[in-house]
Amino acid sequence: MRRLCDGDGDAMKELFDRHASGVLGLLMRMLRRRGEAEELLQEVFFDAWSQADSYRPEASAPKSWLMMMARSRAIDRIRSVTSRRRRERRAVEQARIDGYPVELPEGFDNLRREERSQRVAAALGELPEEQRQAIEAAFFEGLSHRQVAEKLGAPLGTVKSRILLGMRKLRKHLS
Amino acid sequence: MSAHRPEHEEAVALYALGMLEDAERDRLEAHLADCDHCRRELALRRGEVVLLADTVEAEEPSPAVLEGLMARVEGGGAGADGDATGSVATPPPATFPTAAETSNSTATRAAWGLALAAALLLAFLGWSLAVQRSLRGDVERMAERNRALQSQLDQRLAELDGMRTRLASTRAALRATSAEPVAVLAGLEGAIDARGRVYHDPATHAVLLAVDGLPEAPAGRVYQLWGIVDGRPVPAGLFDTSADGGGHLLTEAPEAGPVQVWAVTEEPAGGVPQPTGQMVLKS
Repeated sequence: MRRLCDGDGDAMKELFDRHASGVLGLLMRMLRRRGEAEELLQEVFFDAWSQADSYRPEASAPKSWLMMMARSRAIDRIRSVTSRRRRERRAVEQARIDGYPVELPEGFDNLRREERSQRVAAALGELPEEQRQAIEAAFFEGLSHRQVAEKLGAPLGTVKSRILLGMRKLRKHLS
Repeated sequence: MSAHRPEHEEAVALYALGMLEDAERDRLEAHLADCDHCRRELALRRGEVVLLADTVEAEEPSPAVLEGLMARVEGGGAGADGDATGSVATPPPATFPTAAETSNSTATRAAWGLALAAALLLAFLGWSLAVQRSLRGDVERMAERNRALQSQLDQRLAELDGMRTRLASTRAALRATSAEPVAVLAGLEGAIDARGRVYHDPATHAVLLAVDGLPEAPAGRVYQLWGIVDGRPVPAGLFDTSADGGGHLLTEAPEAGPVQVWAVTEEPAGGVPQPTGQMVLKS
């Protein structure tokens, strides 16, 4: 990331080679259209290039940083935020991404993607269906708790409880 | 400063998932500014949430994405999401002389007039350059999009070609099945009820193996067809059978030469270059 700040194009290629397929997987799951997902993938990496100096290595790993940027941009697309409003929101959202650290559960830092994926999928698989559905609707569809409640046809309080219980169990299974 | 309360931890979990609505989020962010405990909780919750992204299948991007990205990076392109298009520079304000500075002489008025015209012209030029840059950015983005679409189209056409080829082979094999089989395979120990027939279309070199009475291969195992050419087994493809014991394999005749004997063995999933497992069918 330091090399990106110095304008090193090869570093950009390395970052892309290492993380683009994971980021595109997330964008495809959220947007469901390859063309749009690839367009946004390029935007995310270009933003990483433009904003490399705002990246703080002590706060998050590059992959986590890219994933959060990708998710934030995809949510704007899903919510059909206009391009003008997107520009206004972007700085605020980026400040949220950069402003708070991300600490992976112990032991996850050095795992390969496949291993991480298996462990997280196994942990999700342990959750009751309604808790997993609520968490996935929030994460992959970018819905607020009210929107998740509408989508699942459940009272708001119930949805909040499902999410909080689900996240608590997920934490237990990941730790 | 707001004191830490247990419900803040719930809000932190929902915030990490991006689920809070604007007013709730603003309240929590105000609290986070003062609460070390919640900031620490948030880092942990964000770490768990970001791992959810790893549960999706990775997708290889088409080459056009990296090409477009590097063109923007190396060209020092405009910011993301049309920032350049949205920020068309406005002309700088023209400056006018004050009354005290204005001379009554015609020459002075002419000089001021020229200066004003020059300032307006410069402002106009600056504005039109900004518009041009913005339009160029739009065109570049459309060209990138076009390249990405072209790449997807090429990929789909290649898939279509592959499907056409397979369809032609299937047709050839179906033609071949109307003829007599070139070999009949009998079941061996462990699969004594199994039978197989090999059909060959010399025009396309397509080979179709049809089997019945062969139990499904155990988990992690698969059936492999071999053509024995001059005493050497040549791998000819993998297949499995369904619960009713039926199965087929559409493949190509080995290039090594005419097959004298056809045989089927049970092998590890993915197949092997030389037979290692039990032979279940042989002609």
